[in-house]
Amino acid sequence: MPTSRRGFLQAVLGTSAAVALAPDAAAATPVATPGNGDAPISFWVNGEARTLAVAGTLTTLELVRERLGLTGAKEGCGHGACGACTVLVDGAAIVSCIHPATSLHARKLDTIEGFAKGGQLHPMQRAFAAEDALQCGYCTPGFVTEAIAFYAAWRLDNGTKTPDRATIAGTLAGHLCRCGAYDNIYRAVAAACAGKYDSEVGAPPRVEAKDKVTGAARYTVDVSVDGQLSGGFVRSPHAHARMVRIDVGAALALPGVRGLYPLIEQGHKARYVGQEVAILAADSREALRAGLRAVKVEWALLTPVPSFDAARVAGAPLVFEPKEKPLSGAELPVPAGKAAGNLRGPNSISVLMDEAGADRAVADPKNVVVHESFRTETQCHTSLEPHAVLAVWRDEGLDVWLSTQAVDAMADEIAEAFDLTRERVRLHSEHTGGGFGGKANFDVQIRGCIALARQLGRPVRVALERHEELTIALRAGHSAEFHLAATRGGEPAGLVINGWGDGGASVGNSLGIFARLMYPYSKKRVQEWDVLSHGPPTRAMRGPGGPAGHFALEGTMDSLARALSKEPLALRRSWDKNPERQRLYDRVEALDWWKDRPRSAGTGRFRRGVGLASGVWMYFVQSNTQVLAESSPEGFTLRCATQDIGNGSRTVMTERAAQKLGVPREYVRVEIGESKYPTGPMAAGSRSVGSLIPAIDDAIEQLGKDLVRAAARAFGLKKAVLAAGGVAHEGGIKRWDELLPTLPRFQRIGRRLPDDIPYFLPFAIGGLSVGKRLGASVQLTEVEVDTRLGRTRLLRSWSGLAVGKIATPMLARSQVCGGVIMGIGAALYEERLLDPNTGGLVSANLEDYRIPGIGDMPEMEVVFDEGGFDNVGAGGIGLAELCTVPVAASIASAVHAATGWAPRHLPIRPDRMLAGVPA
Amino acid sequence: MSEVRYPTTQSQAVWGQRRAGGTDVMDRLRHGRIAGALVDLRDVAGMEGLVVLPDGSVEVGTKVTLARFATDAKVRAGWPGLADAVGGLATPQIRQVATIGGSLLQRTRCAWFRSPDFSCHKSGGSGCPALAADHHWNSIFGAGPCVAPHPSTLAVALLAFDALILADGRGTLTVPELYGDGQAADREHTLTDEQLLVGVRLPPPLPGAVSGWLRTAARARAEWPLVEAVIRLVPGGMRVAVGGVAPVPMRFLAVEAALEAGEGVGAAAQAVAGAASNPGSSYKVMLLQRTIETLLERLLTPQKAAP
Repeated sequence: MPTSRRGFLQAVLGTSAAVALAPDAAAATPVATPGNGDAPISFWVNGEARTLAVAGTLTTLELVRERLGLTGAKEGCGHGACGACTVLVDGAAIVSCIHPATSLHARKLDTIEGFAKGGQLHPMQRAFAAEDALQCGYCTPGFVTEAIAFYAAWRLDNGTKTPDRATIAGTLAGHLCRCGAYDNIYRAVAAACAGKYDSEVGAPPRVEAKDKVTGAARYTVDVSVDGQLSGGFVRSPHAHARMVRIDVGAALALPGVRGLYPLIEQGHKARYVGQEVAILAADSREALRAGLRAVKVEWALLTPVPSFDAARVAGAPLVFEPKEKPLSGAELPVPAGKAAGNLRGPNSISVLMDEAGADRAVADPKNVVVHESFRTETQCHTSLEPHAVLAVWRDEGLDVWLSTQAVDAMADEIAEAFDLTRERVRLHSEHTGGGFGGKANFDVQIRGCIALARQLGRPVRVALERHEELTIALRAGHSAEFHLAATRGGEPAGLVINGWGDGGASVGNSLGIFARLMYPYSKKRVQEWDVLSHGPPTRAMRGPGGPAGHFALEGTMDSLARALSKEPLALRRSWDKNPERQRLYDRVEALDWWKDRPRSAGTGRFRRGVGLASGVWMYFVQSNTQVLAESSPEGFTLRCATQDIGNGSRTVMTERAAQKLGVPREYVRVEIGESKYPTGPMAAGSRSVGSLIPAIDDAIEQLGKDLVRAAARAFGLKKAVLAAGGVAHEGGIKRWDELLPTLPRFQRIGRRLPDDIPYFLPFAIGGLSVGKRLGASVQLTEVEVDTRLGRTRLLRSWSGLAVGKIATPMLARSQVCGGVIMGIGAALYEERLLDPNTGGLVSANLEDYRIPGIGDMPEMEVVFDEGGFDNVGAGGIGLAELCTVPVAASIASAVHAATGWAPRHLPIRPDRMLAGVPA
Repeated sequence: MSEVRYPTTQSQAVWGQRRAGGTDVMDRLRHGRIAGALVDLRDVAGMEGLVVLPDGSVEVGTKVTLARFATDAKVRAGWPGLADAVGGLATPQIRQVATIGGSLLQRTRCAWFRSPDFSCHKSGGSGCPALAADHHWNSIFGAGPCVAPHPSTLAVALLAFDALILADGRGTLTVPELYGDGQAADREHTLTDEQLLVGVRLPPPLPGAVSGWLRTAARARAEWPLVEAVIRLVPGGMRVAVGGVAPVPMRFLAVEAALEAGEGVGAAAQAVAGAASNPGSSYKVMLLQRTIETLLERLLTPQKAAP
């Protein structure tokens, strides 16, 4: 119901009194930054003296980013826990988001922009770039800044001695990296301190690394346009309530508040605390906050069922009536099942798998049967760059800057929602500060921001605050029962799974599919229900359903191995039909720390154990992917409407083109993050590499033909063919640097041609094809459990992945380490907590929602088995999800091995450990 | 927008929320947990010293940062358990800015208080949503209307060393006097708006004392404690101070008495008498005893590597 603000008031309040509430035009004139009480401060920024008048409430981060225009330092959490905003004050690293700007008076401020001198990077910047100690890059300026301060002090006291891991961990304890670049960060800091990067080194493995270590990389939150307004959300304070009316008169009367666009209609329900009621825009964030406080919403309160457990009680209030449609599907695209109270389901993936036989097998006393129950908690994506949108309507169309992992799909969604042709939507996303599945949806904040910008005729920018981020970007928790039967001889006999997804007000949560993909014994019954409650809807997150599914499946396999008195690896070997994973099992068997692992639970205070979990992930191809390749006198350019969220797609594209053309990487320019380019893959479902590489190959083959033809004609070459480095001909090779300046520009669009083997389904769904191949992995972890204090410390991690050819090994390793770290979070720390009575978010910041820090890291090893995937277009498939899905399972298995107690509820908090393991 | 004043003298630095490093104040300001004026101590002369007095005691000004305090050679030598605690709390960036005064007078870290989705006794409302919900973080001793444990690690450490609090308008206070009984619904300490915490005084180190700090939490670093202890061992001056278990930093006199009587590590068993827990927080009772035990074990066998 978009209307002008006066019209909106009339529409909602419906009385002439409402008009009286509306402010007059004079009240709506822009108000400058309040001058009263501003204090002049004089300070040096990156060596330059400055004097400014600033408000006493201004933060140093606001000063740096908004007044000085230095956008390298980032806001991650807004309360000093993540370190993305780190700057130096008098040489000491501080968190600028909670530092009063007035405290800078008479001090020296150094930001990430100031460390490279005369075009020369600081040794620490070189080290971060060269060691690939970054992925999305959003936290990188903070890490680098702190590490530079450390480097100065270390070199002074210790020369080029190498600092140990504990020292580095202590130094960087105030920084969080959600991509999980910690392993390479250790390497980078140690190497830089040791003097390895005191002079220039070669090009870094990640093509945009230099921009990320200098703070030059621009994220959506760094973009601003003239006249932009700050947008923010009025949210429901109630988990279950009907909106009676909204009174925005007082808010609109405030100076600088510009307008509002409703997102829930009068008479409709809010179903979770934090649900978007309306979006408001104002001249400044301060005015916005005042405006949001002044909006009055009247609610008719209804009884909430804010928890999974409450929702399952007989007679609990219904979150949705049977005929109502629950909110968007979350983890996997399963339809909402039949309604029964707050349950929807069962969805079954075991049709034609002898379900009755499975029931009989798990009840048959002749079989060895294990019965296990599992519980996982809701996990938050926690991208350090929040969801951010900037919408600018112009005569020629709509420009949207968006922090997204789906440039192409979002442009389609926006065009459809706002009834524009696709060409009139220009979506920009140069760098995205993490996504992990949380930024692939056409969220209400995107729609609301664009709608309000149109209504007001002004650019509107929204960047969620951390507590909003932790409210909306989630994956579901699960509860499950696994019943697994084997014959006395250890042959698979049957599996019955009952699963319940805890997805708040959404459906589509599933963990059962992995039991179908691994260990393909035939008798199965897999039934799953969604349990609706008054919590925020969940969505897909890296490896949807995977961590919970593997935790349950692999935990059950471990139990069965014990019941059969078999080695856990031997049982898997005998059941697993996947040749790739069998090769990985060979490697595990050759590992000393697997061979020498303790075979029984320990007894002292500290107990060590090694756990193993197998992993599987699917193979998706965005089969409508197209890549444009262009030749010009300067070199080659690739263009595609895809994005780099830290997954390395920019580097993969550059590397592939450079290899195909036989040129140095500097000859290849990759332009992505723009919707005007040909359709590209979203960064989801591990599809980027497998979709892009074949399309690049096709584009370059076509372009090569143009170039060969033109070169042959221009230079009279005989038997000219495309070759590494140029065009080969009878008389030798004509190199690209000679050829390109003389030839016309050519452009070709390459397509993602089908694989040699058919896809699982003969058609693509929304451009997505499901491949027949599966990624295979094995994850080993060694833990040390402090049974006295309930702590679990990771000592070692070994990840073996079989996904075929690896496009860029160093970046792939980085991504795997990141996946392992995300799994560590799921296993040990991460737990979104809603208040069981009100449904409000308790874990509303990065101190109460705890992701792994650098001190929590084990030593990490990553091994790729590159064979076996010649029949897919890229020679290999993606690994972004495969690397994370078995990790929590492996850690739980290691704790089980160490203590004899099998964790069945993640995360393995100290209190759960203390309850499970007598000291 | 809150007005911010920049007084230049201690006597002017009253009537309002004081701000020094700002690490807690700026967070609460942003999240709507502060109303009214701020009094910034930036321009107030003094309160920045770290001075050894002739008797060997040390006076530390309220504006001294935690980083400076924890790394000061005199503090490290004389009060190692305190230096460890202060040098290990929060994060390096916070310690660079956060001050003695701010650390002692910070507001509760209760997740319900810090979340904008709730209102409670301490955020200007009434009631305690944490009491009705998950008891994981709750106090197990002397919980008042607010069940959150006291947040200050520094206060626990000062308690273990018999430190005195110097407050303009109030005189010299012990740590227990600063915090009272923890039963006030809306505040964490007993200073009034016209009183200003100007510093702390550490009595001279006791000869032969050994001391240490142990924090129990899930992650390795940068995490608020489930339970933490600072212990000083010296005959006639045994001190066992614990955080995370009560609305005020708490001394365990029975454990101290057992230590004086020569009981050693087993003295930790005395800590749990009188603990009031429920299913959500009962693990804390176990953890309390074990945290003290573990730290005692370390201090009594100093050659053994610390966990």
